[in-house]
Amino acid sequence: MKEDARKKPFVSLRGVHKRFGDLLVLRGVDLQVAQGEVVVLIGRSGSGKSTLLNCVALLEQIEAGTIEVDGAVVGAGPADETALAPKTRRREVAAEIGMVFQSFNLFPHLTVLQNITLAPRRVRGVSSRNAEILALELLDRVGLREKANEYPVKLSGGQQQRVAIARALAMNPKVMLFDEVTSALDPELVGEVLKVMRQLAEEGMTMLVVTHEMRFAREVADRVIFMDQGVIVEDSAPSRIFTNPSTDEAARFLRVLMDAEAVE
Amino acid sequence: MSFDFSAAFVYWPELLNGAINSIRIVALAVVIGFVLGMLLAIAHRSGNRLIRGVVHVYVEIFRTTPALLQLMYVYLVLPAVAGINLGPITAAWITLGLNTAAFFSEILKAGFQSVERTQYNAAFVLRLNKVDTFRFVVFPQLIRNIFPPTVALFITVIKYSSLAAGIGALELTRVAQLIAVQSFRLVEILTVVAIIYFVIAYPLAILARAYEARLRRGMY
Amino acid sequence: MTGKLGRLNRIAAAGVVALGAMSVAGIGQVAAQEALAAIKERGAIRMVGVSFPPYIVAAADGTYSGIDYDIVKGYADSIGVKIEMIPGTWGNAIAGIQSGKWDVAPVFCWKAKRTEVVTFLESHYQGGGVAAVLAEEGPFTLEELNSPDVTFVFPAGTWKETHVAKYYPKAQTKKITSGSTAQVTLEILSGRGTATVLDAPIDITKVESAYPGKFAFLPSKSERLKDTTCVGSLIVKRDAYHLAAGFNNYIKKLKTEGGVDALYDIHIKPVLDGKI
Repeated sequence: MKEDARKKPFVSLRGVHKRFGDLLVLRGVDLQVAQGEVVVLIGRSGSGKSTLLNCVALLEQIEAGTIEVDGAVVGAGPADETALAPKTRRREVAAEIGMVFQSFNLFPHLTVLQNITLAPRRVRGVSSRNAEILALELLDRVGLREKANEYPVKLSGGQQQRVAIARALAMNPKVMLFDEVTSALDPELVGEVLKVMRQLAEEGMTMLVVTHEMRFAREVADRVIFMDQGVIVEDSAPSRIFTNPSTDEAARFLRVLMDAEAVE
Repeated sequence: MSFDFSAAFVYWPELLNGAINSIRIVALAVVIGFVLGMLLAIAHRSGNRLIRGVVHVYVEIFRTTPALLQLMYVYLVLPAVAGINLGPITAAWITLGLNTAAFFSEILKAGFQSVERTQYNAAFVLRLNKVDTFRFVVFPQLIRNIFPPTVALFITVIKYSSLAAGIGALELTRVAQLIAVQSFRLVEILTVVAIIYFVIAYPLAILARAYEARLRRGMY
Repeated sequence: MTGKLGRLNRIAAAGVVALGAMSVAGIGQVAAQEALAAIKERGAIRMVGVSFPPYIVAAADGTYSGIDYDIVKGYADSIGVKIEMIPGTWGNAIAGIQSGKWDVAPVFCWKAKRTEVVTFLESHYQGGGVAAVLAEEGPFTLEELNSPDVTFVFPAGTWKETHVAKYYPKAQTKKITSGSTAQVTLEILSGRGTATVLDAPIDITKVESAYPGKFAFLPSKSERLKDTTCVGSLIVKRDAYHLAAGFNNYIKKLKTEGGVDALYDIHIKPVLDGKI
């Protein structure tokens, strides 16, 4: 195992199963993501794509299979528990995984600046001063420096989501998970968030993105993955999947989406 | 009908003493209520079904029976069934404390539920540990959510303390009754006593309003 | 999981058993010991602190005095114990005797129903009433008061209730729970009742001094209806035989020696003279 670590992808899922009660949401997912790769996950609601992100973020405990990030097995079903990396290593790697949610989930009682500096200070042990310098830099990057001392409730949805991205970036992650981050936004605010994500991709961030923004998928993704009923049905380059999908399900799903986009 | 408030002034040392006893009952009841209420809420969150059941029964007993009945039970019935014989003021603050605990634990329960699951998720993916998540994320929101109902509960305890007159505790209302019986100045005495209760409780109402105004300005 | 639950169950069971044992021991203690023996062991006779001046006067500062207080105090002295006042209300005075919260309550009117749970001691109180109406509404005759147009207001459960039923059966009634004379007179002053019954001569004197000239009294200020409506006495627990026997002897002796009359002089005269 150790010898070929260098050849390994940065994120690797093998035979991942996840169930909620009687409902089997993930039924054996295999997925490899290389460093710097941008992978977009699409599929109908209930296809398991968000659950997949939650499993990678370690928000969910999986029933079977393994999840490996940065060379360490951080999640495993009970049968593969022995494969898990030591606890300290798992904690280290977990901090390399950043996540942004559909509903922003900013801490409403903290200012923008405090939202961003909390984790670096408490988890990474960064001094308040340095955490603030870092936070202001990040706010510059997402174009919200002047909002540093506002409370989230005073910001628009797009601004809140950009702060959420800055907050995740403050932990200096090596992989970023985006779970339908523009779905809760008014259409005119989607662009500003996608712009930040595009910029991140250009800087070489490894990204797993669940989205319905097909233009973003087409232009930014290295690979597009279509999921259906808890398994990966199609995994190909955007140029290919959008013009010539190999499965009927993907074709049907994309047709509906494209029509909707054309109307807009 | 003419009014003569001099009786209220003649009896001011007794009224003062009654007010002090009322405040004593309220203060001790609130301390017991908040500490025990917190323990009840924590016990309820433990997930153990037996403990949850016990907490549930406790809370519902105190929520669904009249506070005056609880007072009379502790004061008059406990000597007979358990050999526990308490003075009226002690019986009052213990009973009101137990009663307040039941209500406060419910406030806390609702407070915890009002902090959305997504907040825990956000804290989790930032890899904050459990203690930090509680301290920096959950607790400040919890406080905000429980503050108004807690102040309301505090004011309720002040008003409930007058029920202790029903077991003869020499608190403000009882003192008022006794003075009225002797002086025949019921209207004047009750007016003065109502003002005293108002003066005790009003600062809390102001506090609650100020806090709500702060919240409206988007601050914590 | 089962182990944890098992342990908790055991703790809970132990708690229930302990509580049960406490209750049984408690009841046993109360029942086994005769009231008088318990009083002597405690070194104090406990009297419920209510207010019914001048028989039992609860001052707003927590001190007590009055005719009944002095009688109980005298008896306590005679058996070498102290008197301990336990605050209470008229409403729960009998309940407190039953539950063992206190040993004796001040003057209660004799009622057959009450003898099922308490023992009435030697009587020292005879209550009788006069009717009181607003002077400006009068003059009335006693016959006129016995009419459906008249509403009698009085404290619920007192001899005044019996009195009204006996003399004014046609009148309407309004009972005030735990009402004092002060409260009842206020009802009439505010027009929510026509008449009430006052205890002569104490109540009359107090009402006169609080509201001079406001009320008219029937038959008259100094003359009450002949029948005694309340024969009152201190009460103790029903099965407190030794206590009742000793206490009765004490009161009888006090009466024959003129002690009760003296107490009435001490406590009632100042009221009648307008000093209180």
